[in-house]
Order: sequence, then structure tokens, then C-alpha cells
Amino acid sequence: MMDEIHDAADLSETNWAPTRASSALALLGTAGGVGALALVVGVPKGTAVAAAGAICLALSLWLLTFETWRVPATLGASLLLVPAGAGITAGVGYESLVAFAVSFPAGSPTRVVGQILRIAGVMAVLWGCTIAVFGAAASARGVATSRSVSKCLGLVTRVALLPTNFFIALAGYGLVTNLELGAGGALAEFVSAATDWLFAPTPGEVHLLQFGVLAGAATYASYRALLDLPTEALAGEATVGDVKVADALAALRRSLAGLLALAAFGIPVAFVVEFLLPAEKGLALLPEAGHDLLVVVTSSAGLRDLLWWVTLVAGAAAAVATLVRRSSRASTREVLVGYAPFVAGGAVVAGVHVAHGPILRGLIGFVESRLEPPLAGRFADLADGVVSFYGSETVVLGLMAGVLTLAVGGVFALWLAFAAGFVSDRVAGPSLAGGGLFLAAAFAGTVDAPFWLVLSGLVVALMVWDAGEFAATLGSEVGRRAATRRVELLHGLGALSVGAVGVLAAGALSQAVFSGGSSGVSGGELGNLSVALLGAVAGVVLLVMALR
Amino acid sequence: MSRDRLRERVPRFRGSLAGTLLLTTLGLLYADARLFAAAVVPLSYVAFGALSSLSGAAEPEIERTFDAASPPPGSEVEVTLTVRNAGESALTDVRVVDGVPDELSVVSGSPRAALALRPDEEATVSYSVVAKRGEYDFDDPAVRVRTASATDRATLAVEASGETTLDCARSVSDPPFGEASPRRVGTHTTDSGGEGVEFHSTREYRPGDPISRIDWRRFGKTGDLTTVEFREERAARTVVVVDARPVTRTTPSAGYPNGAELCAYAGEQLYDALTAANVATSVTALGLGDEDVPGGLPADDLLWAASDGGSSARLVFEAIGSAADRDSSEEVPGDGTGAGAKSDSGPDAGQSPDSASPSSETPTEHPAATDGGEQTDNGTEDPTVRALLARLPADAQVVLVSPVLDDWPLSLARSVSARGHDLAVLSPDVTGGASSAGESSAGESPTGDSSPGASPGRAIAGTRREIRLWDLRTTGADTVDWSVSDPLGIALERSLQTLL
Repeated sequence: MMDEIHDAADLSETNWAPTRASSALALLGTAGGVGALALVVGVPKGTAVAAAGAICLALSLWLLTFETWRVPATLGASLLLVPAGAGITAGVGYESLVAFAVSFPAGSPTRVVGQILRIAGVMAVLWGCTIAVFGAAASARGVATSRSVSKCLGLVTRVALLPTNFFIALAGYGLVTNLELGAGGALAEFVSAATDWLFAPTPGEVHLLQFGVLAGAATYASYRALLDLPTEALAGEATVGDVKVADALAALRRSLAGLLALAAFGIPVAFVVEFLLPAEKGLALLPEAGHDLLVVVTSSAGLRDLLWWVTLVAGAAAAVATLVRRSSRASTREVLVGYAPFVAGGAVVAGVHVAHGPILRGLIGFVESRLEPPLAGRFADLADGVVSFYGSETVVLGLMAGVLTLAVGGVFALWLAFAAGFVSDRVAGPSLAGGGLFLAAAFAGTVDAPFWLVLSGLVVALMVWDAGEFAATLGSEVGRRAATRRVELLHGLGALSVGAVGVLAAGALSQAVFSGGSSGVSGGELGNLSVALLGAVAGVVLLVMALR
Repeated sequence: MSRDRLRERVPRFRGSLAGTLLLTTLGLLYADARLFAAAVVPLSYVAFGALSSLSGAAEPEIERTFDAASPPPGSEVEVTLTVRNAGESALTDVRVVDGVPDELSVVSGSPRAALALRPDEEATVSYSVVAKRGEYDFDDPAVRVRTASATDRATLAVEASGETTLDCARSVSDPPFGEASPRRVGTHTTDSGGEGVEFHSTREYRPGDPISRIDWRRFGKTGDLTTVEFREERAARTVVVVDARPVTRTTPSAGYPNGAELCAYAGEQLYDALTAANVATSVTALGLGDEDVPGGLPADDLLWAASDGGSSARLVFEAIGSAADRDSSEEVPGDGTGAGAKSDSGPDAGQSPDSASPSSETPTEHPAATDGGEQTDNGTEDPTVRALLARLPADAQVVLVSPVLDDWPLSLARSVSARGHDLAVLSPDVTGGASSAGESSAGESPTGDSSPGASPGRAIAGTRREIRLWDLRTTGADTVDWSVSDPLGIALERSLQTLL
């Protein structure tokens, strides 16, 4: 109700952004919480790199909200997606590498499960911190909305398309040329057999099917070309003799359509005649003259060449006409905005082509230096084998394609969160920041982080969300230009004191449980049971109150 | 809390509930009692949200005051809301949105605020609006009260005590029919003989001539009765011509009254002053449309309020007000902080003098450029000037109230002076003023950048206007330049000195 009473005098966008004090509180809380948790869990480097990637992603989303300078903004957003994906992948990958290097080889098989759980906990903290940083960065300008995220999904898919296709082509080429299965030879044989079948008929025989396929293709391409080219507009009112050109063209189009229908019907018939019917029951039944004519027409190499060229030229004309038509309908800016991500993908491919050697050497050296000697040796052997098989460009391009595909997956997950309604447009940033921090704090508890830090992390996470949501509501109702600081600070203090009470209660509860456990077997059991019962009752009461 | 109250609970802490479940699940999965205990933290927020309620809160009291009772158009009026918590319990989050009329634009401060009030505490919210001609009713402020957890909120419209109407129009008094006399004595000397001080002529005595005017000396010498005539002195008729043509409907900044509005206001004040000084005053307006006047315009398109009857001056000024507002709907109101900057680049740029004056230049370039000899003829060809001259009484002096944004006033001045009428021009400055903007507006504007005259286009428009005023003076007209930020009284005093 109040949100709608924006007076006409106050139309500036910035005024209705989340208010400053609470937003600053949420940002500081996120930064502090992420820093403390990453340090305590021992993943500061990975968190820093992944956070940089998350900030790149938020920047990319911000660029996508631009209404002016859309072409450079889209190009910038596309290019930023590469460091975003690389940063997050590198950060998470590095820390998982370190965690694996520390945990394995495990001392005993029983410890494997424990180590895996530990690694899962570390990864969850890392992911939580990354999401929190992304949420905080996105909340600064409110750039994370379902619209911008779905735009980003389209963008990252298009950016990933070229590198992925190039990688598949290069890897396929590497496979074909290196594998000694004769795959290349088989492919070449297949191609030459097909072209012979199509273009070099044995003289003196009827080749209905091949001829039918070529004729059908030529007819279809001509029909499409006639349909897509602006023939009517060009012909205008021109006449040749007594015939209007436009009418003649229309008649031609109709005849081609008829021919096309004939081909669609005739090719299956030709297939049946060629392969299924015995020779004496099929064409042999035709009269001599008809049979000879068929032989001349269907086995004429010149006619086939003509049909082939008609197909090529008409097909190319139709394709160009379609592209031009599509581009001319959209404005130049729209076309450029549409192609910007492909340009970015092309830039990635070109960059890899130029700098693949140093990149790969650096990467392999870095990974080797992080692994223990037996593992490092095995990794070096593996890497050498892969690189010598595919070539370093293919490997780096594959890594890039992988990073971009992961980015597609990440943005898709984000899009899913919006689509499923877990995150709303209005408070997307604070929700992600608070949610990520909460996840990190909760999982920090599973990897032996100090209990006070876990509890503080939880309080900070809830405060970040609370302050962010409060700032968004206050901004939309009252605006930034109004005096709001006192109310914001009061609200923040209130949330902090509730958190403090919660921390005290949780501390007391855990103290009660642990001291109960140490005082004696029966007493401990009784103590635990009574505390659990009390907790359960309190929880049920609160749940009922909350759902009331 | 009373009327129009909408109270609702906002389920804010669902996320905390999910967090509680997550921690409980993790505690069970990892068999960790600490994680289980940590679930108390999000649960405490859930409890906080569920338990806090507005039950004891009372409706705040609001009072509104304006710093100027009846301000001139274009001036900034400070509106102050005083919000008081009259209840027993503290209000931690009170959001107030004052009901500013759509027509008025807020130039500094914000009509919205979020306040925290202890019992009996009061807080003030101040903002400024630009006054416009007319009466504007403020709506009741909308108020939303929340608990500290923001889970319980009440939305209500609180009736504000104090002032509710911003009145920025002094209605023109009806012409004093009762006191009207066809010939009023004044200081304006005329060419007809009669009673007065200065000698005019002598003539033969006619029965009924006052004895005091018989030339006794001559009677003594010749025996003929002769009557002395003095140069008669009386107030001439004054015609106030208010210029409300479309070209004048430009504003220095979005949200400020346009030139036609300012002309209407100045013309109204001038009319009142002249009528009060017992001067026979007629009013007419240029640029009116049929839709501005009930019943449509007369045949010569000039709505004329004569001093001795005809349509009333109030009708004329109302019509001008309606014509001035006609283009206002296209304006995009500014946001206060960037009013100056917005009108440079925003869609309302078409309304600002930057763009309006060049376009208005084109059709009227010729009279200014050509030689002086043909001016009158050229001017008379203009149908408006012709109609105006046709209606002017022979002894009338003309006061043109116009922002002088094109060369039309100049052609009028030439035509009028060719007919022997006196002309005075009272010109409100809507260009922000090439020379005066810096000193007059920058100090007043709290944000600094909303001062008119900030853009080069406006500066050029201001310079052209000054040149036109100079040209008007060379035709013999008296010009009074009214900088809108100055009180109108000073300008009126100066213009009245030339008239009375």
C-alpha cells in the first residue's frame, strides 16, 4: 500500500534503492563473517579467489541491467563471465586439491568416511562463502533479479558455445588422427563411397533413388530461395512481353511446390523400386523407349552436376536472404547485442590459441607443486600423456570449455533458485548473502571450528539477511533521501540483542548437555534426556507460534 | 489506532525456520550435540518474530505547518510535519509519507521519513515544495508502524492537524462598479482643456462656466467675458496585456511554474494594485484557447475585461491559469536533487527555455532583422497585434506582462508606440537570468544544482531575453525585469511608478 504512494516529484531510481546504513551493515557483516569462517576453516586462498569470481559474476549481472551502452555492456558482461567461472572453479578446485592432498592417502580404511565428510564440510563452507560474497556484491545495486539471471543464463550459454564446439572439433580431430584404429581411413572411405554413389553413376543403368534425392534437394533449395528472396518486391509491376514478372514468379513457385510434393512421394517409391523389388518386376516392366529414357536421364553425370550446383547456389541464396531478413527486422543494436557473447566466445578461443603454451605449463607446474611426491609423479605422467595425445591448445581449450560449462551450471542453479521461489527479486542479494553465510557457519560446525565462531557466524548470517531485507523494505517505502538512520540502527541493535540471547541460550544448552554427560553415566543420560525433552517441547511450542 | 487501519503480520523469519531445520538435520547426521544446540540461535529469531506485537501501540499525532502563508508562485515553501508518539509504549519504526499534491514538486528534503519515537517524544520532518498558482490540498499523511522485528505492521491514514491547503493565489477582487466614474482625476496630463493647473487656452464665456475661471483682468480691459481653460489632468485608461502564448509556457526547471503562470500572477497583482490606486484598468490575455474560456473566446480571440463592464477580470485570469496549465501535463516532474540536470537531458527538455526559445525564434526573426521603417507595417500584419490595437481605447496606456521569450513583444511595442500609446513591460524571468541567476538562486537552493541558469542553453536564452528587453527600451517602452526569486512587490512598485 505504502509502496505505491511514490509521489510524482520523486522519480529518481536511486532514491528507492535499499537504505544505506542497513546495506552497509549487511556488507560489513558478510565480509567479516566470510573472512573469519574462511580463516578458521583454513580455506582463505580458495575463498579469496572464488570470491573474486563471485564479484565478477555480480559485475556481469550489473552490466546486463544497463539500458544504455548495451553493446559494450553485453560484451563486457560476456567477457567477465570467463574470470567469474575461472575464479570460482579455481578457488573451489584449489581447496579441494589441498583437502585431498592432506587427507589422502588415508591412514586406515575406517578414516576414509570421516575424511570425505570433512572434505564435504570444507567444500560447503567454501561454497557458502562464495554465495555470500556474490549475494553481498549483488545487493549493492540490487542486480540479482530473475530477469537479469535468466539473461545471464542465455549469455553464458552463448559464450560457452564456441569454445565448447571448437574443443569438440579439436578433440575429435586429435582422436581421429592419433588413434590407430583407422577411423580416419574409414571416414574417408565412407565419404568417397557416398560421393561416388551420388555423383558417379554406372552408365547404362537406372539410378532412380540417387537422382530423386538430388532432384528433390535442388527443388527444395530453389523453392526456399524463391520464398525467402524479395522477388515480389523486386519484380514490382515489371512485365516481359504480356506477362507480369511477379505472376510468372508466383507460377514458378507453385510449380516448384508441386515438384516438391512429387519428390516427397517419389523418393520412397524410388527406394522401394531400387532396393526392395526384384529387377524383373520393377523397371523391366516398362516399355523399351521409356526404360532407355530413364537410363539416359538418371545416369547423366552432367545433369547431376547441374542439380548439385542448383542445390548449392539456391541453398546459399536462401540462407543469406533469411539471415539478412532476420537482421534487418531487428535494429543494429539488437543484432550486435545478440552477437556480443559469440564475439566473447571467439575471443576466448583466440586467446587460448595465442597463449595456450604458457598457460598449460603454469597450470601443470602449480598442480604438481601442491601434490605429494607419489601423487605428483602420477599426475605429471598423466598430464604428459594427455598433452602429447591432444596437443596443449586442445587441453587448454577443453579447460576453458569446462569452466564455461560449469559457469552455465552455476548460473542455471541460480536461475533455478529464482524460478523455484527460494529467492525473491526484492531481497535476492541479502537472501543469498545471509543464506550462504548461514550454510558456511553451519558446516563450519562439522569441521571442528570453535563453537563460539559457529554461533557468531549464525547470528551474523541472520543479521545480514535481516538488515538487507529491512533496508530493501525501508528503501522502497521511504527512500534513501529521508532520514532513516536512527530506525535502522535501532532495528540492527534489536536483531543483535536477539542473536546474543540466542547465543547465550545455545551456549547454556550445549554446556548443560556436555556437563551432564561428564558427571556420570546415569546422571548424564538423565540430564541429556531432560534437556532434549525440554528442547523438544520448547521447539514445538515455538514452531506452533511461528506457524500460527 | 482508529480508522483506515490495516494490520497484518509479515512472515519474515521463514528463512530462520529453515535454518533451524538445517542445523537440526546436520546435528543428527553428524551426531553432534553442539550443532543441535546451535539451532537455538535461528529459533530465537523465529520466537522474536512470533512474540512481538503492536498491541500496546497508539496512533501517532501529526501536525503540518507551512513557513509561508500565501507564497508567490515559484518560491519554495517549507512544509514541516511534527510527529508525536502519544501512546504509552515506544514506537520503534514509524514510517510517514505526507500526502503532497501531485501538482507540487518537492525540491529539497523528503516528504517521507522513518522515525523511532519514545512515549511523548516528537520528531519533525521538513521538506520544501515549489509553490504554484492556485490552491492545493494536502492529503492525510500515510503512516505505517512496525514492531522492532518488523513482523507486525499497521498501515493507517492519520489526519494531520494544522495547515492542509497551500494557497498561492490572491483572487482578483471584482471590479468596483459602484465607485466607477467615467472620468477619474489623476496625474496623467491630456490634451483636452478643462480644470487643472497648467494653462491651456482661453475661450468665449458660456453660461454655466465657473466664476473662478473668468478672466476678470480681460473683462476689466475689454468688457468681454472670457473663460480660461487649463490642461486637464486625469488618469488614462490602463490596459494590462498578459502574454500566455504557448512560447511563454516554459519553465526554468522542472516543477517550477511556467512563464504564463508567472505572468498571470504578476498581472493579477498589478491589476489589484492599479484598481486600488483608482486607475481604470482593463485586462486582456493572449494565447488563450476556446477550451480555456467557458463559452469560448469572442470573435477577435481577445478575452477583454474592461474597467467599465464586460467580462470580469477574474474570468480572464482564470482563463490564463487554465491556458498555462494546458502544457504542464507533458512535463516530467524532477526529483528535486537533480532538477537542473534532469531538465538538461530529460524528456522535459522541450519545456525548458533552452529548446523553446530557438524554435520560437524562427518565425519572428524577420522583424528584428529588417530595418526599422517597415516594423509597424509588419507588426500590424500580425492578426493578434491588429486585434489588440483595434480594441485599445485612444488614450490607453498599455502594460504588457510577458517573459519576452520571442520577438513578438517587440513588434507589439513598435505598433503601440506608432499609435502614440505609452507602453510598460513587466517581464518575469523564466530563463534563470543570464546575470542574476548566480547571485539570486544558488544561495537558496539547498542542493545547489537545482539553481536555474546552470545550463549553457539557458544562459543563451537569458542573454537573448536581455537583448530583447534592451530593444524594447529603445522603442520607448519602460521595462521592469522581475527576477522570480525576488519578491514581486519590488518589481510592482517600480512598474507602478512608471504608470501612476
